[in-house]
Amino acid sequence: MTEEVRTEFHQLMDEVRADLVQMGGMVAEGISAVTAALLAGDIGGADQIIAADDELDLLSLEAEEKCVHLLALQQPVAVDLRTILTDLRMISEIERSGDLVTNIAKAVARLHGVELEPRVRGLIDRMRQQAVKLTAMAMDAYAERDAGLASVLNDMDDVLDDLHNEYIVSVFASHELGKMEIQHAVQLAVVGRFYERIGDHAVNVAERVEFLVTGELPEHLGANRARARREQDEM
Amino acid sequence: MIAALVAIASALALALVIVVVAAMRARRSAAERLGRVVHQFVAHDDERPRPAEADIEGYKLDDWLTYLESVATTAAMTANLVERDRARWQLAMDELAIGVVLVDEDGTVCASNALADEMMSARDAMALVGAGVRELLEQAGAGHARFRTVKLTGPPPRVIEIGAHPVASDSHALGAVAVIADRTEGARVDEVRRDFVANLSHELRTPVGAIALLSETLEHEDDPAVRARLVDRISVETERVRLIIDDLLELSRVELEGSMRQEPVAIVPLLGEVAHQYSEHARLHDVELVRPEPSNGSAIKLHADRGQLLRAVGNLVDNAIKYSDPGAEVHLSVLPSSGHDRPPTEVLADADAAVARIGPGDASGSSDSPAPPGGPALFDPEQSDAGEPAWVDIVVADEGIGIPADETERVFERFYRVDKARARATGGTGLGLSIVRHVVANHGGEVMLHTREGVGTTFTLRFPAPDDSVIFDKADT
Repeated sequence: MTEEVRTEFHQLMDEVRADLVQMGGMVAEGISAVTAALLAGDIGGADQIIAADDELDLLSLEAEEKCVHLLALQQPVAVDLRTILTDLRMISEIERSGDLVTNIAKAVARLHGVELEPRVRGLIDRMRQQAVKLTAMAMDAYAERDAGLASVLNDMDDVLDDLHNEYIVSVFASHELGKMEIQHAVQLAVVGRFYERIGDHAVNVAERVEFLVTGELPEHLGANRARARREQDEM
Repeated sequence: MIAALVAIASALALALVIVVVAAMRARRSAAERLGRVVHQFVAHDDERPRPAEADIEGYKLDDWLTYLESVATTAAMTANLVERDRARWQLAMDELAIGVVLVDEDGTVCASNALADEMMSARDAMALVGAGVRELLEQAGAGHARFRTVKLTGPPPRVIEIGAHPVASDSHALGAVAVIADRTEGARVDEVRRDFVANLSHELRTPVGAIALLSETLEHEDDPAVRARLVDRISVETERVRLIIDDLLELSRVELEGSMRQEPVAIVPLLGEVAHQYSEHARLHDVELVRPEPSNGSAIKLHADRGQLLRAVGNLVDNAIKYSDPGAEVHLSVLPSSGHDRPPTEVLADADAAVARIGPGDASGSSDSPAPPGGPALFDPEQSDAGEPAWVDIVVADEGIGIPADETERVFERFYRVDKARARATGGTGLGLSIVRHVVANHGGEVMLHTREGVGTTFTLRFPAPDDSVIFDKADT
């Protein structure tokens, strides 16, 4: 590849990276917004969130096209190839998290008028906090190519899993005390599952980042460092 | 033999002459070449005297090197000045309260300040700001000024405004500049103002309207039983108006810092007094008030307005009782602490509880990120070798319903209510926490709020402890 083509190539790769970070931001904001709508019983807000998912879908399609373009026209190898393959996998993980946000938004209407107990509300808010944290950390690990950060995500996800279990127990305890209909309890349990799945997708992203950074022969490391330096210089 | 020697000697001499001549010529031609290079590269407006181009052949290598040395020194000094100038601009930009990003005509970032870097490197919802800046810069680079407002849900909610403008000199595009401004505070103040007017008129009008209606009905009513009921209702509504007016007056009094009476106030007896005052209220709600043992830290004193302190702690206890379920406990405690590093909470041990911190001179009630809770909850004199306590914390902790994370800052606003239906039923005026905030601000302290829905709420009133006004006597504990 000539220098000019390489620059263009890396520019496009940087664009995909920026697109992915933006998609991660959209998911993080979506989790916060959908939780606010859920806790306030705001059906209008939930509808807006469902509509906003189209933006995420469009962005993920565009990012995917860029990846295909890079693969088909530049025939990248080594770390570049691995980056693009990682990007492709990540696009679907983030897009899927966005779908889960939409699923929660759809549940807002079904739960309309149901009064949630403070304890249940508190646990929903904590799951929101963890899901946002995991998503943001996974994106940070990706954007910074930080395998160390990526490797702690799996352990951190245990916090969300524990919260999820605690939440399910609270929801059904609330039902048993006669404070909630069974269909609403089930609906809420499903909502909890969506938060937990968002955490799982963040862990998947982190695993791809670990592969991207470390899944290679030792002799490639030096070359990659040099390449990273060069990329930095170009920026 | 001799002839041979002579021949060799003359050959050597000839060779020497040739070598010397060649060396001199090479030297001259090197000097000449250097001279031409100098003329080619050194700017023509350079004011130092230098050999004219026509005389190049007459100068020696040393002359050129001397000249070049002075050029190099000046260049280094100029580069140093340019670098210092650039650093000065960067530092000035970093001081700005707005983010600035400058790109060249290819869209490559050529300058940005610290705030912009921080915002652009966010990976949470703030990443949407970075994405917006990139997009707007692209359009501005094409010659169109663009603006966008990014609203983030939070908590805490954020409102960020982005503006991007083309940068051009004589209609020749040089790039684009983006300005990022955090409008959260302004948007929040607007909202507070709007809500205040709406809530005030609602709170005052509802009982007054009810009184008007009830008395009208009373006029045309003959049945003594109904009349008695109507009179009862009228007095209930009148009482509500009276409470609101009392609280409003109290609030304006508290706002006038000049009216404060400063005296040494022993905190533990004060808490006992509050607990006594609210014991009936607590009994009615089946809530247990737990106050500090009179012997525990009884020497802790603050220089304060006793009446204001009573009112502030009383308001917190009143709320704690109202928003607790039967069988719960409300803890009152006081502990000196040596700084922000010692978190005062005891109910909430998890690091991610919803928090708010309302500091002095910040009567509108914004927040920053507080120290995470989790340290030792009770003051232990054995471990307090950190020196004199810098703060005295008065803590009111309940196991009640908690406050939603996105409401923790708003609860300090006048008439703001988290749950309108329940709050009216409990009979509060919606001014209690505003009064608390002002009392603490008057004393140069801050209010910290740690809360979790369904787990409980801890209010910490943190007062500065001037050297002479707080005595913590170890013998007392």
